[in-house]
Amino acid sequence: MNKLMTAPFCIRFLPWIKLCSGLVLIWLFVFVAAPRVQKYSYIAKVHDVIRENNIDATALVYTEIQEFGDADVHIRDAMNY
Amino acid sequence: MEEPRGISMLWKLEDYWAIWLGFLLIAIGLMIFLPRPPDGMRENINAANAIMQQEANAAPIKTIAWHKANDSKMKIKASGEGYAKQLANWIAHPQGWKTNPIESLALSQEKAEAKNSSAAPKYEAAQAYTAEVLTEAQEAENAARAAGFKDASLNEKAKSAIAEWRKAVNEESAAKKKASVSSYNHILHLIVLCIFLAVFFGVGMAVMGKSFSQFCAAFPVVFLIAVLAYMLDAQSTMKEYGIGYAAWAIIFGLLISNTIGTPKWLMPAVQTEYYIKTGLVLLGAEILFGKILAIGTPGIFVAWVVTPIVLIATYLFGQKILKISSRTLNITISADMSVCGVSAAIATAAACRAKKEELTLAVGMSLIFTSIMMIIMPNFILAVGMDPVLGGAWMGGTIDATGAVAAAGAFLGDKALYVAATIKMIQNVLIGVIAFFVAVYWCWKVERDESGSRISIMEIWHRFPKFVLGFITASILFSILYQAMGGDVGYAMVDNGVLRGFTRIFRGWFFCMAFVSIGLATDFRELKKYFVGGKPLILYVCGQSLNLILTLTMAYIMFYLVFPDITAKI
Repeated sequence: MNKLMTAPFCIRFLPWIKLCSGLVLIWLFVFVAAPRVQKYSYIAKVHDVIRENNIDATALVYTEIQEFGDADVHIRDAMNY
Repeated sequence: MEEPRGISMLWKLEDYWAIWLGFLLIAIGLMIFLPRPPDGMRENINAANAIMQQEANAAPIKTIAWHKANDSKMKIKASGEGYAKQLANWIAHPQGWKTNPIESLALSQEKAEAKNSSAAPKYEAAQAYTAEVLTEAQEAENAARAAGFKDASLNEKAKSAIAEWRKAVNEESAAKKKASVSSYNHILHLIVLCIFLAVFFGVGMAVMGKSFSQFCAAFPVVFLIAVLAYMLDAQSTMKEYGIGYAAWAIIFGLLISNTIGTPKWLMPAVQTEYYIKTGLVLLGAEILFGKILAIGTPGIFVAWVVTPIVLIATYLFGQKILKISSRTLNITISADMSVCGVSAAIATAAACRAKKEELTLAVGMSLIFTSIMMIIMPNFILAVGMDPVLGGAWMGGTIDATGAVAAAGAFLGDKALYVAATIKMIQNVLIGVIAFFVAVYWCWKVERDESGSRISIMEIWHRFPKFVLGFITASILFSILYQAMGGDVGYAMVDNGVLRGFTRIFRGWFFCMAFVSIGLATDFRELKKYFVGGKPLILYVCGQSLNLILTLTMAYIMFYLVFPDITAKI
C-alpha cells in the first residue's frame, strides 16, 4: 500500500495544508497587508492617481494601455502641427 | 530525442508551429478589421488635421480648438466599432474588481446600475468643473488672440489656463468611465475560449506527435489557473501596485507544484515554450518600427542609444566582474532591467533559451523594483522640481514595466505622461532588435564557445530559434502596413484595430499560460542556486544605477541642449 495512505492524518494531508496556507497568505497580502502599506502618503499619492485615472499599471507592452495610444497621437500632432 | 531536420521541420518543430499559429491569428485579425473602418474615418481625420494646421499657423501655443481636434482624432478607432466590441467580449480577460472576485467574471444589470449611480455625482461635478475651466481657458485664449499672440505674458496665461482645462478633461473622462459601467457575463465566453484554445494548440501537438486527447484533457486546468491569475491582475489594489498576471501565474503555479505537486496527467498541457513562442510571434506585430520617430531624435537617443549601452555594459559587468556562471541568466536580467521589464525578459529568455527558473528570477526582480521605482521616481522628481519633460523622459527610459511608466507619468501630469509613454513605447520596439541579436549571438558565439569547436553556417541556422524569424517577420510586415496607411489611419486601424482589439488579447492569454506552466514545472528550491551570493540582485542594482545616470544625462542633453525646439513643441 502507498506509504502516504498509511501515514498519520496530518502527514497525509500536509501537502494540502501547505496549499491552503499559501492561499491564505495570498489572501492576507491582497486584502490586508497591501491595502495597509498603501496608506503611506508617498505610496497613496501615486496609487490615487492610478485609481482615479483607471491606469493599468500591470501592463507589459504599450498596446495594453490606452494612455500610450493617446500619447502617440498627441506627440505626433504636436510635432507636425 | 533527435530534432527533425529537412522539410519535416515545418510541421514537426514547435518553433514553426508557433509561427503558423501566430500568423493564423494575425491573418484572422487583419481580415476582420481592415475591411471595416469606422464611418467617415478619412474625412474626420482630414478635418481634424486641417483645424490643427490652421491653429498652428495662427498661434504659437496649442489652442483649445487644436486640443479638441486632437481629441476627436483619438476617438477614431476600429476597436470602438460594434463588431469589434462583440469580438473583444469573446476573448476578454477578467474585468476589474475590489472585494468580490465574481465581479471580474460577471456583473448583473442591478449592480452595474448601482455602480453608475454611485459614480454619477462625481461625474456630474467633473462635468461642471470642466465647463467652468473651459470658460476661463477660452477667455484667456481670446485675450492672447486679441493681442495677436504677441504678448508673452498673455500667451503664458492662456497656456496655463488651457493646461488646467486639459487636466479637468482627463478627470472628467475617467469619471465618465466609472459612471458608464455595463453589465457583463464572461463565464460562457471563457468556456468557449478555453475549448477554442485547447483545439488551437492541440492540433499542433498532435501533428508534432503528441497526444491530442491528453493535451485537451489537461489544458482546462492550465487555462483555469490563467483565469485566476488574470482575476488577481484585475483586483484594484494589485493593479495599483503593478502586480500583474505574470507574477500571479507563476505564484499559483509554484504554489501547486511545490505543495500538492503537479499531477502527471496535467503535464501534457504544461507547455511553456509553445505558448511563449506563439505569444512572441503575436508580440512581433506590436513592434512597429515607425514608432521610434514618434518624438524625433531626442527619443531615439534616450531609448535607442542609452538602452543598448546599458544592456551590454550590464551583461559584461555580470560576466567579467561578478562572474555570473549562467550567461543566459545574465543577459535575461540585463535585458529585463534595461529595456522594458517582463516583455523584454520573455523575448530575450526565449531567444537565448534561458531556463525557466532564470526567467522567473528576472521577472520577480523586475516586478519588485518596478513597484518601488514607480513610487520613488515621480515623488523625487516632484520634490526637486524637475521639468516634466525631463522627468518623463527619465522615467520612460528607466522604469522597467510599461504600465508603471504610465502610472508614474500620470502622477506628474499630461506632459510628463506623454513624454514618458512615448519614450517607453520606443523602447518597447527595441525588444525585436534585441531578441534577434541575442539569438544570433547565442548561436554564433556563446554555444560555439561552450562546445569548443568551430560550427558551420548550416549548424548555426539549425540552432537558431526559428520562432524569432516569425517574430521579426510579423514586426516588419506590420511596420510596413502601418507606414503605408500613415500614422493616423494606422493608429485607427492597426494600433487600435487588429492589435489592441484582437492579437494582443490572445498574446496576453498565451504569456499568462506560459507563466502558469513555468510555475507548474518549477521546483522552488531550484531557484535558490541561481541566487548564490546575491549576484543577480547586485547585477540589477548596478545596471539600474548606470541606467538612471545615463538616461538622465542623455535626456537633459537631448531635450534641453541639442533639441530645445522639440521640447518647446511638446
